[in-house]
Amino acid sequence: MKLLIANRGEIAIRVIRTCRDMNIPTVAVYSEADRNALHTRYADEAILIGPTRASESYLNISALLQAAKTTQSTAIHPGYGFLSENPDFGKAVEDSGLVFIGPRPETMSLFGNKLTARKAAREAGLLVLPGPDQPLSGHPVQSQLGSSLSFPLLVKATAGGGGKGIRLARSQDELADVIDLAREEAISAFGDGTIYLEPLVQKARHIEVQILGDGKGQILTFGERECSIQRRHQKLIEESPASELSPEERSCIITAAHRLGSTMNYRSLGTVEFLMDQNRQFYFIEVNPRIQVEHPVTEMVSGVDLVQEQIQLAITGKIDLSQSDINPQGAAIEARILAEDPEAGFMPTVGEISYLKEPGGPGIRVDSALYQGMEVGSDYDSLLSKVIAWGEDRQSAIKRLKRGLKEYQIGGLKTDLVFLSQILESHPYQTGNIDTTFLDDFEPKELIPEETLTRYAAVATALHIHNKRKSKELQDSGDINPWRQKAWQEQTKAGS
Amino acid sequence: MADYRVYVGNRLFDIRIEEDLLLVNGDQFNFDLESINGNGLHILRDPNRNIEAYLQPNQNGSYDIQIDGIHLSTEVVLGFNNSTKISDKNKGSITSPMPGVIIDILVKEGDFIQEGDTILIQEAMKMQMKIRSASSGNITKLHTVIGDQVNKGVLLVSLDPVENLPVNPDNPQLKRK
Repeated sequence: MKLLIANRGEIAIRVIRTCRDMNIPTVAVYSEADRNALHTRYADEAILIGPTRASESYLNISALLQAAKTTQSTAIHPGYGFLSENPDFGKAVEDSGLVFIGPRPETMSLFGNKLTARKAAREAGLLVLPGPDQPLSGHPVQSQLGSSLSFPLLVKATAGGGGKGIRLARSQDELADVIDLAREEAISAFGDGTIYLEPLVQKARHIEVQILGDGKGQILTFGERECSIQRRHQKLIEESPASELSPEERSCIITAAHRLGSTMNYRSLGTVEFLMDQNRQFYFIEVNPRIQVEHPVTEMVSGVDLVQEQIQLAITGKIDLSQSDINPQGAAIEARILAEDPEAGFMPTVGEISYLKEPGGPGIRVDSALYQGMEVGSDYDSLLSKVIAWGEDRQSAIKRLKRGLKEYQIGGLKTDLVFLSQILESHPYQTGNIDTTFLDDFEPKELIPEETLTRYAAVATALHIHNKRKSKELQDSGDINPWRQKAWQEQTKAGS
Repeated sequence: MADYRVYVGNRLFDIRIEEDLLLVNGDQFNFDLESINGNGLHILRDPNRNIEAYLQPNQNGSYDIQIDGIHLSTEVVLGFNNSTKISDKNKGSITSPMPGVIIDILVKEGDFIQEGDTILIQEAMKMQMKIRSASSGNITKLHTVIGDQVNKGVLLVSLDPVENLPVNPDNPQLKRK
């Protein structure tokens, strides 16, 4: 067995680590931009698959298969993002005789289309947000849907994912424009402009269930995660268990996820995502048929290495665990460290990591792709690293995560580190009063008084300049090193 | 003894450093600063609190400083009565004010230019912007060509200015002296 990881960044490193624990040799793939990346150094072998542009490297199916062939790999792990949800990739991998560590291609096709996913969930008996299972075919919308539309509503791409391809329409007046925009965006992001409408759930909470299926009907559930802290429909802080959920509510959502998984004979790891509305009603939204960014919080509370289970299953066709082995303990929270500037509307930032110190200590896990000297560009995702904290309860997990973020020092570019601490510090977060609109009216509070902070900055700068000038004066004052002078004399002697 | 006027955003600090004395706006403090690896990491002692300060010189003479994850920019001049910030003078270089494409370069290496002369034209978000020189001097090097896509703050042109203000010992251009 030899495993090729068709990904980059922290998730590639994450998979390599488990392989090393399992004594499985690994192959990293890299684009020209990632020649020196950490994942290329951590793997047993690394192979160049193409230029920086993702479409020619990490999204290039034939280059990846060729790399697997060249290195005699026997299995491929797709990570998340890139080709991880692409059924053509899964099929191509299996057709070339390799093991694909993920769901069956048919499952990926079904869940890849949000409308067929909704239909499957409804048929499995899950509650799905109201709306037709048909895509919008064009203008005018009114004639297709009558006057039944209530605003605000979401215009979503059927091929969407990762928070992309979702647009909000506040009123009938802007609907036509929003549809055009969403369609254009969907074409450029997914090559497919098919869209549909879904009512916006106000003050929704995002709660999801981790499942693992053996492809023959057995489904294990690993509890739920809450990912309500989002920016632009993209998750920023995730935790397990969800805060303030009653045992009945928890059991309801887990049962629903289990039912969908077993109806589908689901294979491999997957996440069933739900929205909880203000009446505490759960609605199915989608299935992510892959490992997720936030999987470590589940690992921290369950003590299970999910990637190991995923690989083990792909090799043997069997799950070694049983449901009674999974007893989540305590609480875990993950914060995503991004190359983005929250003060500038989460604009991507670029730069060289000129200084780096990563956190540690009890209850802290860091899944990071960072190294000193790394050039952070805008070619790929802005996710740099994740800090995950475990505690006996939510409050102690918050305290530990705050410690971890405070210890984390990343020099050279702006990140969301301070912003994450400010969220954890805020009253609504601490009391579990969160929903997906949390950041809309979030007002960060200064962690250090501005006067103290600016005084530190001023004094440090003045002392730095002062010390430099002093040492330069010393040099210029003819401070001659007798040893160097001696060496010089020896050298001139030898030369003459 | 030396006097430094430091700007941090809108705030101004007059700092006097003597052998065993440090005054910030007239108040005495016991700060000390130690460089850890010559790579920008410093420990600022307060005196019993050790604060990590990550400090990097900029090409335009200002400093980027990071304390507890918060990024600040500082600018320094010698003496308390000198109100000209280094970056106002921006003696060493011309950098891009925004991300965009360089669509024209109006100078060549070796040209002498006057303060206010247009050096380049940059296009961003379908707007064209003239980038002018903040000082007079000789163009020593062009770092860009027409058609370049540049980020914000990228060095475009190096300039050997008519006069220098030797305050920032980290500025490569000043080190040459």
